[in-house]
Amino acid sequence: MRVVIVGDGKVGYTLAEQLSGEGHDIVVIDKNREVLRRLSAQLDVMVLAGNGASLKTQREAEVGEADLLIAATSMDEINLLCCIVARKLGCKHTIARVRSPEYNEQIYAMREELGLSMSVNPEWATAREIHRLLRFPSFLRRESFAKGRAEIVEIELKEGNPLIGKALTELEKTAGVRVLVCAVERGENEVHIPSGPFILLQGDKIYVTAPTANLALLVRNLQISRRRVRSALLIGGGRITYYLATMLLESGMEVKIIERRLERCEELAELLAKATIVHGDGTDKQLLLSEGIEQSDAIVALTDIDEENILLSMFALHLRLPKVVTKINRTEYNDVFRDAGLESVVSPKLLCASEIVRYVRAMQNRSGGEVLTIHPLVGGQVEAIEFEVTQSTRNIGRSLAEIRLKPGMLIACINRGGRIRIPSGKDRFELSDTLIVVAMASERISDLNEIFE
Amino acid sequence: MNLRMMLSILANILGLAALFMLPPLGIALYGAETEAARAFALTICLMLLPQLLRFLFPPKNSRFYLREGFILAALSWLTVSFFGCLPLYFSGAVPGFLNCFFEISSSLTTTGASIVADVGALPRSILFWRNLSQWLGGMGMLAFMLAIVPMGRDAGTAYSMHILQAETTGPQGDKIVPKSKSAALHIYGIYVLMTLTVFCLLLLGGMEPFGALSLAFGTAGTGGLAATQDSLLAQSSYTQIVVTVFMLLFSVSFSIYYYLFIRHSFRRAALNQELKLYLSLLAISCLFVFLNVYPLYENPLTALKHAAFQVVSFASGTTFASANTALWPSFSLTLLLFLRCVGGCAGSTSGGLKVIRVLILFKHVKNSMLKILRPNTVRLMHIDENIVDEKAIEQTLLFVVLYVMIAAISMLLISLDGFSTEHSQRVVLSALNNASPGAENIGAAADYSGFSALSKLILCADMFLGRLEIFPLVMLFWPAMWKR
Repeated sequence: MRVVIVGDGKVGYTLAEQLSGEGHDIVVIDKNREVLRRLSAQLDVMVLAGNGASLKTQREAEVGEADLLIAATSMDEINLLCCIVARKLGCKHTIARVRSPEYNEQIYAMREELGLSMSVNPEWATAREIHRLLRFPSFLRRESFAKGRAEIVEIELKEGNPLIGKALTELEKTAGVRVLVCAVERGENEVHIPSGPFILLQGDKIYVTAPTANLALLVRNLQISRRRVRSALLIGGGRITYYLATMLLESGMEVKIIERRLERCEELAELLAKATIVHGDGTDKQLLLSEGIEQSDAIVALTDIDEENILLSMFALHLRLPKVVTKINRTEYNDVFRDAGLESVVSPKLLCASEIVRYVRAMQNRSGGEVLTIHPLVGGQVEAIEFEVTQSTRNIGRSLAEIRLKPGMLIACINRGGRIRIPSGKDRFELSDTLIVVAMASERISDLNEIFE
Repeated sequence: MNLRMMLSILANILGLAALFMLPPLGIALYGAETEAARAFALTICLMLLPQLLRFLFPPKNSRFYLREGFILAALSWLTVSFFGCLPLYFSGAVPGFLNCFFEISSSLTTTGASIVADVGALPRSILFWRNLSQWLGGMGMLAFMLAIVPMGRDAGTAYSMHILQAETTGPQGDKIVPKSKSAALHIYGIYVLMTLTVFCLLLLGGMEPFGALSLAFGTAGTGGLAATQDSLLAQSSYTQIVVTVFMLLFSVSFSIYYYLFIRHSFRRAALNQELKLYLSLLAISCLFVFLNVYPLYENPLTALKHAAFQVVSFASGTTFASANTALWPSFSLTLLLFLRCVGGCAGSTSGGLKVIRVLILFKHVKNSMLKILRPNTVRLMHIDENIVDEKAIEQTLLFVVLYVMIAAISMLLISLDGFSTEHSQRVVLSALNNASPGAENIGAAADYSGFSALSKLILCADMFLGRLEIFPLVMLFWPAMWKR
């Protein structure tokens, strides 16, 4: 597919990298020649210098023949204009990054006029992700499927966990609920998509599929429950903080925000009446201690500077706070952070990019079954993909025991009209069910039929 | 340095080169040339050995940077030349390993200098392989590999881009399509179609198929090796004119054909300043040469035909001969030598400095001069609606400096053999510009066998330096490249 990306910033670059990696033809438009020169030396993409919102530049980039335009410049207004122009030229799909909350309503109301297929807001997506993590602090990561009814959660098997030494076949007995382990990360480079006889060891990080309703039970039975997060300390007062504070306040948590700029403090105080806003340097140890960091259930490091966020998180780990969430923009070093004990790392650009990649996969999907969502697991090495079963899907109505899947593939969950089943050999899938398939990311599954032998 | 990855790609390239040896093997079997058939079969087996190595040492990751691309380009050309000369050596068709290596290096790099005194005495299969390899070398074997070998998992990595960049002629230009792989596919598609066209046209002119195919390969790769000793002297005017037109077409950037025939965008094609300069250079040179040689021929049309043929032939680096230019006046010969150094357009199969570099050089000189006069003016270099940045200008200057240095050093070393200064100069410039020495030496092609082993090696090096445009080869032998 031919994809035009306007804006070679953090999100633009990540998208260019991922989409060209999936074999698409990528054209990147940016005003800055120097940035483009560097991009074209690193990725196999075509670059074009110019204003992406102008008709002339878009004509030159042949946006009319492109399948998708993604506007990811730093300006919302330019992004929206890009999409309008692209639609005018005949581009079939357009995605705009719109981060300003003021435009939310009109994007919803004017989607047609703006010519938008989708808008993404990285900051909002990040806040939602963090919110989900804080709701269940026992899990290092949560990915939700089937409109939030099923989840894949990441659990680290620490000493004393009843699952250690057990084979997967004994899982249901130990966990007390029907769940399925769909991926296991062991040590540095080992990733397994396990089958029944697989034995779990201490230190494994396991990815478990379960209906959302059973998560609480799972946590209790595995004795991994941590204190519920009742109070959260957010460092940094940017957009993510605003979105996150709104969500946390809504679910009844106490929120304290430390922000450096007085002006922004006042703005936040005006917007978030229930939150406590503190003006000061969030990396100042004395200030943190005096604001009661030791008593908070969770700390979320959300400043603009990665190094500060890492520093804050290390400090919080040192204080043994129950939950530490770190926002990181530079994702190259994610494995290093994990080794250092930062368990919940979120990155706005990755979240945003994976949302768009998901959309692109769904677009290119030919038949077989439609991709609904894609979630990267194990740092992107494994993917959980949600498909809808359509007419052309093979093996409809046959029991799973009869169906031969390719090695390393797994059907983790069947959703029939909102009822979640963790499948066993007897189960079968029907038309218009949705399935969650787990596979190695390198397989690049984009069609449900690709998983069958 | 990702050696395993490079090994894997190298094995691919040798596998493909082995495929290219199948037609000559067929010809050898058909023509009952036992020696040659055995030599080709043995070489093909040897070329498949790296596949085993690749199996033993599979790549661990596909990390691949420009550095690897350069080294790989240099290594693959050297290895393919090494294996490519084995049939000549094994069959005993050309005596001496160094001579075989020289012969195949010359045809792969589309130089077209030959060490064989009597081409007609070579077995036909060997002759065919020699001519086919100039076709393969013309557009490049790495590009060929990129075009046809499916990449699977590596599709997204930038490695195809780095490889293509290291092999394509001329400075790095704009991409015609986003993916390097599909660019390679388009370019090769055009190349194959154009080669077929010239082959058919030559057949129509009454040539026998073997000769027509050889001539088509020589024209397409702008190599200049034909199946006969006397180049095109004995061919009909029709054949000479067809070859003139196609030498011109093959020395023009292939992206032009992409815009014209695939995208139907005349505007994009007409925008190309390099093409305009190249064509005007050829037209003016043609006029001067015509005026200069006019008195030698009875018929002005014959004079014009020979002038056009020689001008295009030299500029494209093909150096076929339609007339015995040894008899031409000194002005014409100097002009032809000048054209040879300028060469054709970037992104074509031709040799030389490339017109675009000369264009950048001239514009840079002009801008710099103006800057001395009016120090405060801000000027940027525009080519085809694009701005040429400082880095690109710097690279071009570096290239020209290296080119002159290499030429000077080579001439000095070659002159140890005691030939005249003019002769040493001519052979070095022809090797470095990937153009055979020219019609002055018709009948004396055995020239090269008179050189010492050292000179032959230097000429081989010059040919590779010319084809790979200096940097990859220099880097391969630059110790700092290999350090971590």
